[in-house]
Amino acid sequence: MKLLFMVLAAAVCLMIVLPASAGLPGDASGNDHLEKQELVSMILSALKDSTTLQDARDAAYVYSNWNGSPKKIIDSSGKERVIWRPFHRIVVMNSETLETMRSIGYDTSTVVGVDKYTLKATAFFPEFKNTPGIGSIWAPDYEKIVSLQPDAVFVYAEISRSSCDEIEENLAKTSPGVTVLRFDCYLPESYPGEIGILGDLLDCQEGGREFLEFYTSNIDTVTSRVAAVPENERIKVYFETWNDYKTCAAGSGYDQKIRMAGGSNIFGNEAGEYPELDPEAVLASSPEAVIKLVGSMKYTFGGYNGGEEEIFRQTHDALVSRKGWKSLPAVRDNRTYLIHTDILGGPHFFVGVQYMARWFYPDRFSDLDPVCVHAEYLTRFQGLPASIVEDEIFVYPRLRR
Amino acid sequence: MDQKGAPGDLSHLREEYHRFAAKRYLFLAGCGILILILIGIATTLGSADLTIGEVYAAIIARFFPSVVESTPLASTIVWEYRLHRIFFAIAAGFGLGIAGAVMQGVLRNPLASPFTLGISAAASFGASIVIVFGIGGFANDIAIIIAAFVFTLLATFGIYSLSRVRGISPESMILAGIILMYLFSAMTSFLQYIGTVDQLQEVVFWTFGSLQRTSWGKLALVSLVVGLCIPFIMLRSWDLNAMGQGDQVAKSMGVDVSRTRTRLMLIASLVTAIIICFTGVIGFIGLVAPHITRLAIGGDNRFLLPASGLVGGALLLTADSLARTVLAPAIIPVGIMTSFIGIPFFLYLFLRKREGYW
Amino acid sequence: MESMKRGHLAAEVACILILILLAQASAASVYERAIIPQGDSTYRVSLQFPEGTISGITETISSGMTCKEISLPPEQYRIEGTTLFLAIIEEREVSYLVTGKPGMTAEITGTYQDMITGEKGNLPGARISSSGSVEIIDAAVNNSLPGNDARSQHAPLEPVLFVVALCATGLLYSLRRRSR
Repeated sequence: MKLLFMVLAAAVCLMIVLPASAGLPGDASGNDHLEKQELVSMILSALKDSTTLQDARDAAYVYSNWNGSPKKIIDSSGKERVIWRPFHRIVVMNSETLETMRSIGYDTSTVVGVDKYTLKATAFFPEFKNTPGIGSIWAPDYEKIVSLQPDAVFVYAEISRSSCDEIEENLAKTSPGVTVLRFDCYLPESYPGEIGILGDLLDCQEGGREFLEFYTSNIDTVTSRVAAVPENERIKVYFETWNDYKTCAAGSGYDQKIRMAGGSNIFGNEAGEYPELDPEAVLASSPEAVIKLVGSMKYTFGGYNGGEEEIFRQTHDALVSRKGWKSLPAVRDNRTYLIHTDILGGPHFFVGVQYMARWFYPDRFSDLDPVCVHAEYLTRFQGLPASIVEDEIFVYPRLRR
Repeated sequence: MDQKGAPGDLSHLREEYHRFAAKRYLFLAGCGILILILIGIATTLGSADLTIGEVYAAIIARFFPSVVESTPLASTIVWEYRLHRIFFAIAAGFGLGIAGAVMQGVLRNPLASPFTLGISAAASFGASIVIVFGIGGFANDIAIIIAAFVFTLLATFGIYSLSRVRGISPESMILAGIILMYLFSAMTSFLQYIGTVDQLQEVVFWTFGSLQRTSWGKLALVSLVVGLCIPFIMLRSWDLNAMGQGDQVAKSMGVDVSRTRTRLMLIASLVTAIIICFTGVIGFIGLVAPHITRLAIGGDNRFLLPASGLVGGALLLTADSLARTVLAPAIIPVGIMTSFIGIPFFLYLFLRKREGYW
Repeated sequence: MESMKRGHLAAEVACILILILLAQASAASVYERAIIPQGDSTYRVSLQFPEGTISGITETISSGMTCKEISLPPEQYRIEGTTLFLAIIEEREVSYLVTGKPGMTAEITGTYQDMITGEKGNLPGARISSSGSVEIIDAAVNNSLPGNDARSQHAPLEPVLFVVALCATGLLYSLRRRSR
C-alpha cells in the first residue's frame, strides 16, 4: 500500500513542475545569505525575463524581511526547520494549526489544501468550504497533496506521532522541496510557545504577540486564583469522554485542562491516556463534579455546527439517571455538566477551562464570563460573528449571565 | 475410537466405556462446580472496595431484606453492575463454546469457529456501518446491536447459499465462509478508512469485545436464545458423532447429512449472532473452548458439546473478572484477556497430549 | 418619494465614481517623477520611492537621446539602447541625466514592478516639447496635468478627491437614514 502511494506520488511529481529545491532564491554564491548584489541581479533579470519574477520577488522578501538569511525555527517536534523562501501554497492537515494561523492574523489565502475535518466544520471554517481536501492525518491523500504543489505541509507533532512521521517521511522522499512543519496547537503546555513560533514562522509577529497576550491573560485569570486553593481542597472531578465510562488520565490534554481549572481528576493516575473504567469504580469514587464531553460519536450535536437544546437535556438526564448515580455528590448537588469538544479540545480550550473553573469554584469565579471571552475570541481573532455564542450551545446547563 | 479390543470381549468393552463415561460426567460436574466457585469469587471482585461480607449481604438482602442489612451503594454495585455481567459472561461463554463445538463437528475441521467463518467479520461490518454512518443519539447503541445481528444472519445465509451451489459439504461451507470473511473484513476496512479517527477507534474497540454494556434485559434475551437452542443441538449430538466418521458412514446410519449440517450451522450461527451483537467480537472462545474440552474428554459430542459450553463460560468469566481487576479501575477489553488466559491453558494441554486428538 | 430615490441613486453613482478616481489616483502615486531642465538640452530625471521599496524599473527614452550619470552603483542598472533597467533596493531617490538634440521633442516613459507587493504598472511619464519645456504625464489617470514648471508636477488632487469622497459618503449615509 505504502509502496503504491509512493509510486503514484512519484508519477505525479514527474508530471508537474518539480518544486524548487532547497536554497535561498538568487543566492548565486551559495553561501546561504542573500547579498544586495545578488538581489540586484535577480531583479534586473526578472525585468527582462518574467519567468524569473517569482524568484526575484521571493528574494526581495527574504532580503527585506529576513535580512537575507533563511529563516530557522524549531517546531514542536523538536526539529530545526529551515525556510528558504516565503510560503505561497500551504497544506494544513491539522485544523488546530489552521485556527491558530487565523488567530495570529495570517493571511490564509495561501492555504491550498485542508483536511477533511476542516471541511466538515463549515460553521467554524466557512472560508475553506471549497478548498481541496487532502484526507486526514490518518488517511492522507498523497496524490492530492503532491498535486497541490505545496511549499509547506502542516501536520501534528504529538497527536498520532506515527502517522505524522510517516507523512513526513513520504513527503521527504517524493517531494523534497516541501517543508513539513509540525505543531499541535491544542496542548496547554506547548500552546503558548507554538503561538510565538508560528508568529515568527509566518511573519505575523505582531499578531502573534497580540493573541498570546489575550490567551495568557485568560489562562492566568484562572490559574492564579486556582493556585490559592490548597491541593487537598480541590474538587474531585470525574471526566467522561464521548465514549461512556472512558475517562482521561495524565498525558492527555483534557487532564491538563481539568487541573488547570482547579479540578482534581479522580482517575488521572490510571494507565493510558484514555482508560475505560469499570462503571462501579465511578460510583465508588464519589465525584463532586462530573464533566461529560460531547461533540463526537453518538454524542454528535451542539457546538459550532449547531444542535437543539432538547438533545443536550436528554443526554444530561440520561447521565444523572444512570444506575446508582443519584447518590453521587455531584448529582445530588447538581454539578453535572456537558461540555462540547469545540471549546475544550482545540486551540480555544481556554474558553472551556473558564467554564470549568466557574463550575468548580462558583464563588471564586463569579465575575468570570466565559461567554464573553468566547465571543471576543470569535470576533477579534477568528473573524466570526459574536452571535454564534448565543445561537449555539457549547455547555449544558447553559450559564446564567 | 472406543471400539478397540477383541471382538466378543463385550464385558471388558462395557467396563471401559463406563469408565470413560464416568470420567466425562466427572468433567462436566467439575466444570459446573468451577463455574459456581468462579461466580462466588467474581461477585467480590471489582474496583469499588466492597468487602466480601458487604457483597453477600447485598445479595441476600435482596431476597430477605428483613434478615440482612445492606447499604444502597453496595446493593447498586452488586445488583446493577456486577451480577448481570457475571451471568452474561457465563451465558455468552457457554453459547460461544457450544457454537464453536458444533461448527467444528459439523465441518470436521479444527479451525472452524464463528471467527474463521466470516460470522464475526459480518457482525463487525454491521456494527461499523452504524458507527461510521450512524446519526448519533440514543438509538445508536440499539442500531449497532441490530445491524450486527442482521449482518451475522446475512453472512450465515450467504455461507448456506454459496455452499448449496456446490453441495453442502464441509469444504464448500468453509470455503464460502472464508470468502465472506474476506469480503466483510475488506468492507469494514473500507469503512475504517473513510471514517474519522474516533469512529475508527470505536470500530477497533468493538472488535475487541467487551461485556461493559450488559444488562439484565440483555442477559435474559441471550439466556433465552441459548437455552432454547441447547436441546435442539443436544438432540443431534448422535448425528454429529456419526457425521464425524464421514458423510458416507453417517448416511449409512440413516442420518440426513445435509439437512443436519445446515440446521446445526444455522443454530450455531444464531447463538453466535445473539451474543456477539451485544458484546462485540469475542472470537477466541468459540475456537479454543471445544479444543480444550476435546483434549480433556475426547470427541464424543454428547459430552463435548455441553462441556465446551461450560468451559467457554468458565473461560469468559475468568477472563472478564481479570479484565476488570488487573488494571482496575481501568478495564481491559475482554477479547484481549480471553486470549491471554486461554492460550497458555490451551498450549499446556496441546503439548502434554502426545497423540493426535482430533 | 420618487425624486428622493433618484437623488439617492445619483449620490451613489457619484460616490462610486469618486471612489474609483481616488483609487486610481492613489495607485498612480506610488512612485513620483520629476524632471528638471539643466540647459544644453540636458535634463535631470529623478524618481522618488517610499521607504523600503524593492522594485524593478524599466525606463524608455526617445531615440536620439542618451542617458548618463545614473545615481546608482554601476551593478544596479543596465542600459540597452534607449532602455534603462534599474534595480531599486531601498533607495529613496534615483536620478539620471538625459541629453537630446536642441529643438527635438522627446518622451520618457517607465514601468515598475514592485518586488514586495507584486504590483506592477506605469510610472508617470515625462514629455519634453521642442521649446524645451517639460511636463509630467500621470500614468494611471491618463490625463496630463499641465505644469508650467516641473516642480509643480503634482497638483494636490488627492486630498481634494478624498474630501469630496468623504462628503459624498456622508451625503449617501444621511439619505439612507432618511429613507428608512
